[in-house]
Amino acid sequence: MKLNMLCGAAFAALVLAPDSATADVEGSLRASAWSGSRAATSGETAIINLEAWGRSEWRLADNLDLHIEGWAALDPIADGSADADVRDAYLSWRHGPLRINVGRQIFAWGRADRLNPTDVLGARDYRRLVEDEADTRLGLASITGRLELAGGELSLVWAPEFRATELPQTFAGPDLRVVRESPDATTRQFAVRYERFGRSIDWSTSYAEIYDTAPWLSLSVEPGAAPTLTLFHPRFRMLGADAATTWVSFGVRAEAALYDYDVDALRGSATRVPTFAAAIGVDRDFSNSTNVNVQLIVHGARAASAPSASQAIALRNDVIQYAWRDTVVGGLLRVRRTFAQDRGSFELSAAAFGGGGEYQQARLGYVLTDGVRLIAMGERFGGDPSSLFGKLEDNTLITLGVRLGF
Amino acid sequence: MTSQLTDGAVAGAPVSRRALAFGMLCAMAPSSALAQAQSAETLMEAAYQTTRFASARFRARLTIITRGGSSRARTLDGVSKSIEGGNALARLVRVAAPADMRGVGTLTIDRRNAPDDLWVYLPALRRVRRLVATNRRDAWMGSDFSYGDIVGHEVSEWRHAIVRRERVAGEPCTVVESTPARTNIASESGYARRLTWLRDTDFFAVRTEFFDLSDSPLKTVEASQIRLLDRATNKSQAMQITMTSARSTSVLAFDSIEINVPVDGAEVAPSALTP
Repeated sequence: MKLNMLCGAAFAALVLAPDSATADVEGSLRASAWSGSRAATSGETAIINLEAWGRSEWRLADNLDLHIEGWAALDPIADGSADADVRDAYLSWRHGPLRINVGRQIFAWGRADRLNPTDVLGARDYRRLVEDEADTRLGLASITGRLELAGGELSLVWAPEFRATELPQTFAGPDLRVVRESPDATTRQFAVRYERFGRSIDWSTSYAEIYDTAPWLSLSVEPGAAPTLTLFHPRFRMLGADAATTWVSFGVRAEAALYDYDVDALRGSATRVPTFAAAIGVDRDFSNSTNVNVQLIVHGARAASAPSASQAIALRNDVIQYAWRDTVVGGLLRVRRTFAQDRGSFELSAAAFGGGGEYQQARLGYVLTDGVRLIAMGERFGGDPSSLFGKLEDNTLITLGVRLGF
Repeated sequence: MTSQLTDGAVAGAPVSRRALAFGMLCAMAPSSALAQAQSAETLMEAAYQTTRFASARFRARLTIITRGGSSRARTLDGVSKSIEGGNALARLVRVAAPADMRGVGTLTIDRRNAPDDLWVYLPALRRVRRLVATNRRDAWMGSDFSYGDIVGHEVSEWRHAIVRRERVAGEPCTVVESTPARTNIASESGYARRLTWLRDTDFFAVRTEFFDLSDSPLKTVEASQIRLLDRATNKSQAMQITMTSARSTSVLAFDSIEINVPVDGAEVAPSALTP
């Protein structure tokens, strides 16, 4: 769905809203300096990014709300161009146990920490110069029906829009033509989820038939022409579940998903195809201000037909899809400490995958006054250059930023 | 029946609520002699029972003032409802301001003689997260109040004893000492004991002192602007609650309270935390 269509629909809803409509409006201005871009290129100089974020909720009628959230930035991916995006722009209509949302909205599925096997709806832009990974999420135009059912909530999603995940890597080269291919039948994307919050345990189960937001690569060479690298998005099915509970002093979360790809659509460009992913984690608070979070992640893949194109492209697909081995095991450790009565927070994160290098992040935030927040962050990628994190080694960066809320 | 209380005005209708007063309200209107005749458990239980209400909506302002004088304020919208046959109280509180915290919400389900449930919603993550019981000792909204203070301290989980009688603001009070009945209660709440001043006229808890796990004074809460909301059942609400610790003071001031209003169960369910 086009950005201007969403803006037009939102504007029309506001124009047609009765005089009694009420609104909550908030925004923030964000300025940050970065040691480099997220394009994994070396030798970059400092980059300044300025962003304006806005969020608004309109009560158009007793049972009708309009939600809008978006941003505009001067140089959001450090390519020298300004950009804007609407993350949310949807009408929400309620009638008894039924709620219907129409428009672009963000989906965040799964109860695991950060790496969520069931979080397949909605893309991300990993090129964005944002210090909070949640801000990389992109909204997805959809019609969602949510029905309270048997003590839980059943969600049916039809998503006619497709948006691709943007990776922090450059594919273009002087002798390489890059083609981005969008799925031709996005009206066939749908998902269903049943979620229940219960006494002592929360859980959900989900199913989706969608196109992979992460790009797969294929290389074709025509005689007399430059090689063409095509970024395409095969269709797949996901069956998943997650749960969260508490045990003694621990919070416990688990999440798993099975994947079924249309292998014929992979164009012989992969040596392995993802089949499942699972995560289990625990967290615990210590001394009232420190939270420690540990999570184990497993990705499984099965062998695909031998690549007909470049072996290098096939291996790159394996890395993007966490499928460089039949079974890839990884771990995530996150320690967060708050201080000065929650004015400040310091977070250390580290992740590593078998054969996949390692990643560390340190993040410091401090609230000067209500509405003024300072942020400092550093990220380091390393390891085997052919691994996931190793390939991002030039993406190691630091940033300093300030956020003014109003 | 619905009644509304705005700051500085008393509504004559029934039923206050336990809202954020964490077991500080008391029922009945006993005489001083009657107060002295009651056992400590009976006094605390009466307070606990009296403060469980059918439903309520409120808007409050939470101000946190550091010793250095700087302050931060949050405007809170809340709704509560008695659920599970009256054996539990669900309370959803959402931040309305400042802008960078708007939408942050917490849902607590406070059960009698059963484990409580706690959830938090952070708009940036767009996920509802279940918290463990030991999070009850964590600061609520960055204030001097803990989650446990907000959920309330179950009477049966503590041993109570009348220790003395004192006046607070000229009002005769019975001072009740509460100590954890089980060791895990101390670690979960963060308190080795509490001293509660219950005024004789209505058993309202006008002051509570909290002691940390090493039995050192930790913080003190004072209730003021106490309004009688329901004369028939003698239910009241402190319109201002001030928690003072060594590092800061947190003031919870109610701008408005509506009680006995229709509240749908879905309004106090975890899914209500999300937009």
